[in-house]
Amino acid sequence: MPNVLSTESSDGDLVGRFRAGDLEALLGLYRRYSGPLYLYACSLTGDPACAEDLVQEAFVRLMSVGRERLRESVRPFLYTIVRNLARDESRRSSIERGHAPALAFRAMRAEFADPGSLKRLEQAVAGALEKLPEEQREAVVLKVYVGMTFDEIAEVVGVPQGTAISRYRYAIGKLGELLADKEEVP
Amino acid sequence: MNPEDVERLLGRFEPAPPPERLEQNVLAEGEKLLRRESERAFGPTRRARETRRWGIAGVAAACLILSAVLWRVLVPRPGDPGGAPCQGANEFETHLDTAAAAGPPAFPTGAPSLETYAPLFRRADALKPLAEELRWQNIPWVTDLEEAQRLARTERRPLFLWVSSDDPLGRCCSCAAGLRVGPLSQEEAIRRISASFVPAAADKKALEKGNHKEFLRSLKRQNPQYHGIWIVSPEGKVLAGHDDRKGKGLEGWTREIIETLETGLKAFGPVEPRTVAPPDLFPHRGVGVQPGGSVTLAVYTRLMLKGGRDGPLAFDSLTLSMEEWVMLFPPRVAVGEEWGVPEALARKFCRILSPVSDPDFMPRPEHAKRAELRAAVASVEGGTATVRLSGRWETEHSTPDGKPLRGSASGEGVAVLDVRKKTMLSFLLVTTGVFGQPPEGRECGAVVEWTSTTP
Repeated sequence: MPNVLSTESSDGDLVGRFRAGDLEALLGLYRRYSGPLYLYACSLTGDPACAEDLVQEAFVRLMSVGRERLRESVRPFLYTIVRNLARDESRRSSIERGHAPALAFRAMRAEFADPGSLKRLEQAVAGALEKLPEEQREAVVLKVYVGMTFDEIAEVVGVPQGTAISRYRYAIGKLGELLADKEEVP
Repeated sequence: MNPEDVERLLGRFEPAPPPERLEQNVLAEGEKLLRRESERAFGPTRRARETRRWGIAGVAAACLILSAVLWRVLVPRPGDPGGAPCQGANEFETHLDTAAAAGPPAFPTGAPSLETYAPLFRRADALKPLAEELRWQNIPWVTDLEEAQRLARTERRPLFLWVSSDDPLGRCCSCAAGLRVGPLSQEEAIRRISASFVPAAADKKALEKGNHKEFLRSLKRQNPQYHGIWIVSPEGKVLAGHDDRKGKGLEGWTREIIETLETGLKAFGPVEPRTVAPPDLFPHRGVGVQPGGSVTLAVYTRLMLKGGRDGPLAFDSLTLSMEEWVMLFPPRVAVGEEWGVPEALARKFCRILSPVSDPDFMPRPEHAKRAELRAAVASVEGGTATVRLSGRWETEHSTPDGKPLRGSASGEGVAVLDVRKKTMLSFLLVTTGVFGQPPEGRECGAVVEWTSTTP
């Protein structure tokens, strides 16, 4: 049996194999996308429990959707679903989006020798990201942590590509100002 | 710090893996989906012999159903715009659904001039819930989870905990709405749930935001499912579960729910039969003015075909504040007095355009492209005034996965006022329209009603 985590297996292959009854293929898709997707959901909702539900629901919809609606990569589909669900969630509940990105960024880890400096840096980065306007923060998460192209970001967020680029550029510029005193990172 | 350094710094972090239980939950959902697909794929083969045996009877039944459908499509109904008027008692009986009388509340017929509105009442009756669509209200639901847990501990019996993505007793996802008018409205399920369990109905989102977040997580860990039914011991141990997704028709689905009850009860052990009267779940819905002066209008929407029922009921409510309510009163009680209800209030009625129970598909005030509700005093006699209502709504929004949805509806209604007391006696609005993904859409309708006192 081919390794489902192999980069040779395209999303389309995995979806097709899942539809044919191979649960391992779903596991492959899940492991390929769940980490960044969960981080994105956390950054939108500010609530890890709610983020879990959104990610689960996105995979449920992926499994149920007609094959004709999926392209070779399922990534834009998953992110669009999570974004729309988060938007509805935000509209229905009292949670204000973007007020707790620290929750999402505390979840990140890094290879630092000194745990103290890691903690301080995490807090500084999370604090700086929190100060960004919501759409700029979203552009940073999708670009840096999800690894999307600007084309893909534009598609998920529903804006022209130029807007996605400028949001990201403004965000990086603003982060540069906010993190000016962190020039000497370990 | 220059942009390259910022990008380098951000790149030194990476997303942490999500909790392990999420992977288990997703796989559990996948497994269920595959099982259902498999049952669908192999079902017809297993049934083939039976189908052959009953082939002739099946064809005859199909012909009968087809004739009934064609009759519904081709024969206009009294009360339809442009349709044939009622000709006599026989035709009246054919079209007026007497079972609808079981639905709350009945429109009062106190005002002398209300005979004029008979076609409107018939259209409302053709949309309102059938008695069997409301039987789930016969279960003695407890909507406060803490109270339900306390009862379960005191009475030493398991909880029948029904968790829906939204309000399980109002607008909720289609799975829960189907469960409500399906298995949970079947006599056997009602009897078993009421006799052996403490039935609790809860909104998943409310649980997650409140004090029961950890409890819900514990349930999900023990029996992974997104929402649905959990049979839970008073100590919080999950004894059985069902994810409330539609199974194999009403009969199969009901059987699955009953099997879940049996499994849960077997794991828990024998319990004393319980006799608790169902509470009034909606004391103010469609009836009376609340202490602060607000009112809650009863709303029913559903798909229609040629003016009749053609789909499951969406059970909904619309609450108006005292300030909004008085906007439906005439500035001056004189025949011919006309006024327009402010657009902000007319927009609140947009929800009646969606025949789908799931609030994700429901248009909200901000989705209105057009929202008009006008009123005119039609008569003043015998101390009461009748107000004729007319409205039109158009909405555009999208589904959670970005597909466009469009709705349009027009409606007529009547309100009756007590001129001396300056109070509303009753309110009825009936709309028909189209809702769905453009360019297609399905015919649908809604009834909004309220009365000052329980009939």
